[in-house]
Amino acid sequence: MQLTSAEIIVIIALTTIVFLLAPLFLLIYVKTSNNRKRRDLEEKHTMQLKFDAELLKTQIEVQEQTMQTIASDLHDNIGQLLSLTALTLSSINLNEPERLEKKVSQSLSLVNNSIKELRDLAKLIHGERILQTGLGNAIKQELDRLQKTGYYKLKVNNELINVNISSPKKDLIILRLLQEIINNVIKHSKATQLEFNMNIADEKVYLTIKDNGIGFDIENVKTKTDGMGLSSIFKRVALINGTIEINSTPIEGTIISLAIPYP
Amino acid sequence: MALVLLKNNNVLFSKITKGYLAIVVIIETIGFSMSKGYHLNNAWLYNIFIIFEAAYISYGLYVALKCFTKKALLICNVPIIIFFGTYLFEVYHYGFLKFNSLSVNIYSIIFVIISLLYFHLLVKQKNPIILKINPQFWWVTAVLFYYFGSTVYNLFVHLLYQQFPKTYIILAYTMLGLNLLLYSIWIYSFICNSRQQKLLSSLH
Repeated sequence: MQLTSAEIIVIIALTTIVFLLAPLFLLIYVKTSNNRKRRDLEEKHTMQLKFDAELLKTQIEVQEQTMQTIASDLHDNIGQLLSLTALTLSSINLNEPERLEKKVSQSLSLVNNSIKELRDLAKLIHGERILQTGLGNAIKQELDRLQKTGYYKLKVNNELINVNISSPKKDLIILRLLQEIINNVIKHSKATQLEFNMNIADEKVYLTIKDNGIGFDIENVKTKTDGMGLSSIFKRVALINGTIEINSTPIEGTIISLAIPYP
Repeated sequence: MALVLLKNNNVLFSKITKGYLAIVVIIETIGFSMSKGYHLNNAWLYNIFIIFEAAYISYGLYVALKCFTKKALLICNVPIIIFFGTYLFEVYHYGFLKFNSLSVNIYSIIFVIISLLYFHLLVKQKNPIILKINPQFWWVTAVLFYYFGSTVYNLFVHLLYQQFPKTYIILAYTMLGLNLLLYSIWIYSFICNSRQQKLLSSLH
């Protein structure tokens, strides 16, 4: 078959176009892929910024909550104790030596109670400093403090002690969450026995708090927004990509389980 | 244009580019005068030119590839070694007065493969770059277009020319089109380079 010049021209033109189109499609593919990567990266960056902002907000909220606790403790406990001490001391009449010793002794007792309250407050303020020895030790100190009150029978299994890994950002949030859960138990549960289980496995920290208190309606309590309520605890657990599970049975008590990616 | 756009650029590749493009202008002027003006065989002139061409494109691909792989030098030595092998073979067998088309065909294919490798590494890497203003990306794109297109030209040019001498003009325009495409994209690459340099100098 003999090809004409026109046919040859068409063949040459078509072949050239095909050979130019192939790199053109490649170019479009590279550009699309690159744009997709840029979009993903921008999205990741935005998410990271959002996460950092949320984390900062949470840290500020936790600090505010701590400051509120301090203010409340200073006003309700230490302030009252010192007022009472001042009142007792002012009522001393040097002309009544038989009542003098009793009143000084009462004042001394009140001052000692104030010192104890102040120490407890200092421990609360210095949560960050306590965390320098690790999350396990910080939790241990918190539970020791609870034990010393003598109001509760504690059963503790703390496997976080002597764990070498740490996550400074998460540690403080975890400690504050635990403190808030303990505070809620003290305030509302009327429990007498508490059980704590802490361990780390599969890059996750597991915390379980069990009490024998009166229990509560989870859905009802969750919606409360005052202070560091349950909804706030849920939000903070979610912020550090953790999960929280609450099982509460009236009269029998409550089990709170936390699983937080760690470090 | 390269002289204007790359005048303040002291990067080795830019200096080599200016030198190479100056050689292109000189060779093309002499080659055109010899062929059209004096009807002389200019194949030997282009046999000298392709040495510069192979060296320059290999170095350019090396500069582009070294951002993505540590084996860039090794990869870009391949076309140089193969080119010199086939070049010496052709000169030995056919003499210096016949154009070394086999060498050109072979290095064209290798340049296409290396350009594709560059795109592959570009797609594979995690950090995206702004392609629109990336001079290296456009430089390699021009190389890919030109050598991909010219591969078909190089493969069929002799066959077509021998059987259909009338198609010579079409083939000449095809090559002219490819050259226009190459130098247009390179000019855009030099514009990107110039903007980059201005931006860098304004930051200092």
